[in-house]
Amino acid sequence: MLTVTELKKSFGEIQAVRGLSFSIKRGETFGLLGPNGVGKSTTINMIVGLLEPDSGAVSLADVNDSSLREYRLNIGAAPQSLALYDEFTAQENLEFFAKLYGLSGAKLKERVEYALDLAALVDRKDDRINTYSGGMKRRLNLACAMVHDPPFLALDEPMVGVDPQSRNLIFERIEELKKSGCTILYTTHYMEEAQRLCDRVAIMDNGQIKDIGTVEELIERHGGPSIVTAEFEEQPNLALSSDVTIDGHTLHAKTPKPMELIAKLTDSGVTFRSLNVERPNLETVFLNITGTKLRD
Amino acid sequence: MREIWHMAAKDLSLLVRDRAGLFWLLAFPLIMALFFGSVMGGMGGSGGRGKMRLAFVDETSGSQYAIEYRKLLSESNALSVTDTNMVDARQSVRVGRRSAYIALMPDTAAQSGLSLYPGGIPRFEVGIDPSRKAEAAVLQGLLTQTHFSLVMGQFSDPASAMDMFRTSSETLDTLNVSKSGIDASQRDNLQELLSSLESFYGKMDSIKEQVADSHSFSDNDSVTDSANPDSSTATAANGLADSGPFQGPEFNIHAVVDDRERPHSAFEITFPQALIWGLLGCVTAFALSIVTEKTHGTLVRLRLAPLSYTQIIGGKGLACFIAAISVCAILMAIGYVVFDVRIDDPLKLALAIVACAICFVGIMMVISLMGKTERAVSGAGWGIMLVFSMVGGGMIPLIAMPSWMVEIGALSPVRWGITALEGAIWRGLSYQEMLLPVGILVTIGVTAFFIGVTILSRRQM
Repeated sequence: MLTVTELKKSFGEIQAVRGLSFSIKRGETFGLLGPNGVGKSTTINMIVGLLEPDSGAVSLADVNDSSLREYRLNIGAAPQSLALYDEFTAQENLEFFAKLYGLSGAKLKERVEYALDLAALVDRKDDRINTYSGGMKRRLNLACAMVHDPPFLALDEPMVGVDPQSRNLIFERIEELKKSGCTILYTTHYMEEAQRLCDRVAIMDNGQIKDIGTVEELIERHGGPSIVTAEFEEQPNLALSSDVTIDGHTLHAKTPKPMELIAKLTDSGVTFRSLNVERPNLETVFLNITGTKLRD
Repeated sequence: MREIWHMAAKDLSLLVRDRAGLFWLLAFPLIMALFFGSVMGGMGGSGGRGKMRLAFVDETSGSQYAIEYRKLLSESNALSVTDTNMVDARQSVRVGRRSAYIALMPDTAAQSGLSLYPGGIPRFEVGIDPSRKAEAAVLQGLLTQTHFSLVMGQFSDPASAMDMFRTSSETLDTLNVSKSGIDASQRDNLQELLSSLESFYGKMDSIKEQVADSHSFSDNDSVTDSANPDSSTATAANGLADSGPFQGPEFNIHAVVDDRERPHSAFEITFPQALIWGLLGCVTAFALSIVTEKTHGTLVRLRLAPLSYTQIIGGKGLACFIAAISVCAILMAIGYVVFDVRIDDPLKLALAIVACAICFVGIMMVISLMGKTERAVSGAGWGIMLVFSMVGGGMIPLIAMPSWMVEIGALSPVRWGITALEGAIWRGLSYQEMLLPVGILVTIGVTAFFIGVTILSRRQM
């Protein structure tokens, strides 16, 4: 669906994007992860046609020129900042943006109703949005991106400033879109969002992609060992590897294969008082790749 | 084109919902038109509006001259005269309650009647509010005119004239030669002149009979004219048969209007200015809306849509154009229905309004470039528009400006806008005469529009 090849963009002396390449299959949800300021928004802006790349190419549904109408009709984008007319109602906002994509008549009505339902704003559709909460606006921002039924959706940090209820609703709606076959490019720096929604993830740092893969693949490659902590009824008498330390009744272990260690302990006949396994997740991967030092 | 229309409809819809914006577009220009129209006497009738408020002080203890002078002053359309004493007169001018005071001072010929002898001219003290200094010359002219009207009245009445000559002759007899600055030979000559004049006026009745016989004047007409006590010019204009050989100049002051008697009211002058203020409001509102799209993020979504820059900016331009035409149409409709503003030629007015709208849409585009925030564009917009308006006659009448500023005014689109609108409303300009202001407005508008579109496109808004 989308192919990005050697994309580069600089702002003066700053190289925001340094030769980015990746592709997204039709129906896939692809996460672009990275700390703030690593070039995620610049990348997405070049993909949706808001920024002209210095070099490289973007191809969406076999259309290579982002200024072409066919290219734009295939994209629905929810910018990071809210992009709505405060003096309009939700319905008026949706109708206006739908008309810009050539919708009219029954199709327009049908899509606006769908988008209102998607944003769960049917009951408030006639209220001006300057009376809405931040979460409601965020949901409408997403609905405006979907109103013309695009096959490709670019969501730039869609959960910023959203309350837990709206956050959950937005998750559900994106999952519905995913099931309906929509291709989604999702940028975020919240790992649990990416882990829940994305089929594949690219981790960006310093304008480059550090690695791409499924969440499991990335954890396997960059997650490191699991941490096993066990407490026994009696002090165990076991011969274990050097990664395992036993202090009285408590065992601490760092192992890439925690289940094997637990099986071995069970087989030895020890009685567990408690057992805790901390597996690496995407956040661990992220911190391992991008480092833990604060960067601005 | 459909997308441009959607963009324009959206902007117009947003404009209508912005009550503060509507105030500047419609209510404020209307208030300006009403205010200046009323100041200029647009409500019809004199009503005291625009008169200079004058305090009159008689220090001659009720001399005949003071009474007559006061009476003539109060007949002036330019003055509103109130009697008072010297202290109150000075105080009222000092605090700005009155524009000026005039005091007829004692120990002058005024106390004993007019006299021809040197030094016998009535002496006035005039105090004027410093903020009305520009009108000092006008006031002096009015006071002088009033005095000479009285003098002419004396000359036109043979009995009064003979009294004056006699009084003057007696005064000359008692005159101290060394103190008056008149030598003995001059005094003799003056005495001879006064004696001749007295003798000449003594024969006036026989001269009048001869003239009446030769010109067949109607006695009834003469009686009617001279019997009109309200006419300040009647005494001087009655003709030789009644006024004797001395006749003052007759001023017939009138406004230069064409045979259709236009402008019909001051509102016909102020409504073109109101239209210009409405247009300036449109310029600022839409220049701001371009920046607001940017700062509120909606421009991003517009740019994501399958629209070109030209369509996005074209939508803004179309919305501004429609708003400008609508504002002008609404203001003119109010002017026509409520304030009796007559439109000389609706077609020419439509032409002028369209030309103005094109011009100010172009200017709007350029102003939208002058800042990246609403505050910057708003400041630049009103700043530029106020200068345009000031030098172009939108605020201060052109006649009140120094000549160099009038010349600079030719650079202001406001000047050409007012010229075109006035030409269509009351000046009765022909299509050929309309060509210059309309052509200049359209040229400014088209040039500015393309400059604005080019730069906005390069900046990617």
